[in-house]
Amino acid sequence: MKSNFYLGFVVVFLLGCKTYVITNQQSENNAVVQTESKNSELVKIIVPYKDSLEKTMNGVIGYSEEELSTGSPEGKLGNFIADLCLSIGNEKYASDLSDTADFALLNNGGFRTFMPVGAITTGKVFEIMPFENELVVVTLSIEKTVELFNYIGAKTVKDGNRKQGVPVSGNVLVELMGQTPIEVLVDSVRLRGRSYKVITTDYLANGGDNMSFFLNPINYEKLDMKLRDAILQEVESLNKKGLKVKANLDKRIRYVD
Amino acid sequence: MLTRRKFLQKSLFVAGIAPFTQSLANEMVGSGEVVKISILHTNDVHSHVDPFPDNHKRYAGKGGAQNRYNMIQKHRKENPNTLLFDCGDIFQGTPYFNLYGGELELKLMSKMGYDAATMGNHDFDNGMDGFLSVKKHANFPFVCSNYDFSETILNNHTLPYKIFKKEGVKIGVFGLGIELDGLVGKKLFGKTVYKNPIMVANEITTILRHEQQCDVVICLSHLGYSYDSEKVSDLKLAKATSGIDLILGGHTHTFMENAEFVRNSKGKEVLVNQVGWAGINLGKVDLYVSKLTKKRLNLNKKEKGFIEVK
Repeated sequence: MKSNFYLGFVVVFLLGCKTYVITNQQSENNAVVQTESKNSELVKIIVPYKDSLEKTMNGVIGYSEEELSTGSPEGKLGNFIADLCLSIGNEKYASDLSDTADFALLNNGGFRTFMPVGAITTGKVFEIMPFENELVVVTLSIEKTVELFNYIGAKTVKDGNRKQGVPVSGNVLVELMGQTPIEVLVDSVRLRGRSYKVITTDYLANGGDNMSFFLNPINYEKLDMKLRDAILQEVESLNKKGLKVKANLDKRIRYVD
Repeated sequence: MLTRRKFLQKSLFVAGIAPFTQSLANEMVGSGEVVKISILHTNDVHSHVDPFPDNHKRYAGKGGAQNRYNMIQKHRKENPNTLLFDCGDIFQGTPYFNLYGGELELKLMSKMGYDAATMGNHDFDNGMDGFLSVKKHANFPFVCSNYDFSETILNNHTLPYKIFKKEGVKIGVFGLGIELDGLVGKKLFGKTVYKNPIMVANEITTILRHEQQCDVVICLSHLGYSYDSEKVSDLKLAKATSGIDLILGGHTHTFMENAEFVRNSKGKEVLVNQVGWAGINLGKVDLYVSKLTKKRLNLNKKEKGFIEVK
């Protein structure tokens, strides 16, 4: 009787067991390419969105007085964007987190084209900044801040090309002798033994473009704002005030030799 | 579970010839002894609705929702036992998302017949309210097993797992997301609680294997393929757990030619796959699931002396 019970249990157990097992697998990842299929079901869904998107992209949001491009030791486009990052970023930082950053630092590699003279469309700003990089505030120790300015010295080239140079906001002054910064002022005050709050993008803050001084900072705060949206906002607000986009080469990064 | 090698031996036994060929497996599918389940998958499509433009340096003409749909339909025609999954970061990357908040992406995926997706960090980019406002355009569920949304507006809008049945084969699918803190603004993910993916994977696979009697367990992951750091990745997950058959990944935009075999904590094989980003590639993993009975499997053990095929 007892053994029958066990037998029954075993039978139930076996029946309850999986009867399906994976015996072989094969995988192949293929490129999605155009096929001869005449199927256009999805295209039909896409078209109205695409049309309206193109209309938005072609919409003029402001005007530029001159052509702005990146450069080294400084470029007008880098100066323009670094400045607006500090002002707009700090506005957001103050309202959301009641704090203020010291300066802004970006990279020229992120700007994929120049700002043309004349009408600026939404699409043009997307072309200049196609990445979804967000503004963040990184708090750096004085040691890391010194590293940051050494990085600027190392990356800056006299009469360099569009990819060289490191854009910083206009409240920073760096005097270089060769590759070495011999004077650094932030808001007209020489670097001191305190931490500095830097507005940059999440990409750079995570060590992009070899900006290793941003890694393991004292603090890292997100502003929930994309760099592109900050540019769009600046161009639009200038336009509302009847102003055009312009920027100066103000020798914020200069050579003394 | 029957190992691959045993299956190969059996195949050799059936055919009486070496080496094993894929046509053999297909033959067994034809005979009804084996069910072939095709898993199609994407990850990190990042709002790439249109194909890359013809002048694009690397991906000219590749990708695009319509092209992907055509491929999916072709695969479905070849094998009706097909499932289609996405492993997150559906959103963000083209102006389609900036302008329409993901509505179009989800409409297209619904039309393509996605069976489930998991959430990536960028799917939080418009906040949870932004996600919720477009979610109604998705006719497929989001499986998120290690995000506890109970204190948020997404409560009850995602599933911890979903079970699919194909010709009697039960396929349990769950989803694992990456740690949001530091990747996503705090305001955007609110009171979402991130739970350790390995612990959650063990809990869920136990439920799927034992309570739900699933034959196949698939994880949709947005953890990332591999890291130099201690961060949990698909490879770490595969090695540290047991009971998962297939991990479909995302986040690191890793282009893999095909799925990679990894040994799990019990020495069994797990497949890990990922298909880059932007819908450039479509992943495909075919699982051959045997209906063989216990008795016949035991008989199989006696088939020693056959050439081992690796």
